[in-house]
Amino acid sequence: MNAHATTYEESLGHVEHASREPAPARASGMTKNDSQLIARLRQGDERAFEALVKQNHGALIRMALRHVADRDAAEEVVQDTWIAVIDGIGRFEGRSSLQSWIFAILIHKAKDRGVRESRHVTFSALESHDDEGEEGVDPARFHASGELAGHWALPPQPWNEQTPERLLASRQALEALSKAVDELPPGLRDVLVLKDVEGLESQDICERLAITDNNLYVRLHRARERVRQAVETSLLGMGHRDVRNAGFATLMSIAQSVSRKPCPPNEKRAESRARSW
Amino acid sequence: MPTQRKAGGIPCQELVKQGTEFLENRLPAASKVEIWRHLESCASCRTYVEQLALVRDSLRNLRVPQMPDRMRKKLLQRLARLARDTDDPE
Repeated sequence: MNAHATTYEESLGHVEHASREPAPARASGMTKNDSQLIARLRQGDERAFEALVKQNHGALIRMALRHVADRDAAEEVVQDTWIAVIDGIGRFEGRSSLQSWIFAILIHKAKDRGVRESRHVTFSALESHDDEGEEGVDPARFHASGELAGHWALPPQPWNEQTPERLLASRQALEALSKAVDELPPGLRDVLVLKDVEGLESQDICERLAITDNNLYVRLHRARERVRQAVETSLLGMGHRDVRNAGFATLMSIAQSVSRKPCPPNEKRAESRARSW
Repeated sequence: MPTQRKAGGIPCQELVKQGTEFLENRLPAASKVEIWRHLESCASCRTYVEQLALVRDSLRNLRVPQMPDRMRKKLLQRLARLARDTDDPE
């Protein structure tokens, strides 16, 4: 976590300065790239602004959607956020990273809009998320006792779609993937979207969501596993609900209907796959 | 009933809990070695980790919402105006 959190006033661009001189950039919360980008933005550099938009617009829309009723409202909130960024960039003091500052503005504006729409979603969903409890692959998929206790009883079946391109080309899998992301609880969805879809650095995500590094990876794993399960369910030709709701008997019947190969040691295959991970 | 040949070291259930930390290279060296040893002899866990990686990599290719042209134009005009005003406050 960044010890130099963005203040409420700074996030709203309300920090007043005696002169119109741009505020000096403090090194504490910013990267060198931030400093350069800010300097270019203050000079009205369109390409710098385009770069900032490319990096953040999608994530801002998704974050806004947590607080407001629909996509149109989210776009309005994000547009207001960009306006505040442009208007406030001259006063930005760099006490947080540029991204954190932008997202703080967004969150304030989105919450305000959400309250007005009486559809305010607080961070309680994040706070109440249980990071300690067990959650992941259904325990019923492993042997519960005996010599094989803890090993797969119902192992995952290999998918035909073995590259992202092929998986996304499968309409069925793509729909399952997108739907699974949309249906994640906010505390898991935010982490997954920021890390895997938007590709943000862990530190930025922790700062933005006010969670620890450990919380981040616990949630990330749960989120990825839920999405994996949804794709698995989709590719196995089951109904919409995910594997955990299917019941063990149903899963067993599916597994028995799928031809399975034995599990020989195959180091070359493992090494080959590992290179692609 | 499907059965699974017992792989060495940690049980499969323990490995899958660490799938993301393994993929993100966050585990201590000893744990990584333990997982690699298990993966060498367990096709099911290789499939699991491969699917987790595939989900991660596919999410990176999901379409990111784009800024509408009208919004972009409006914001760029504001940026240019603000830069002019800053250069020439009078």
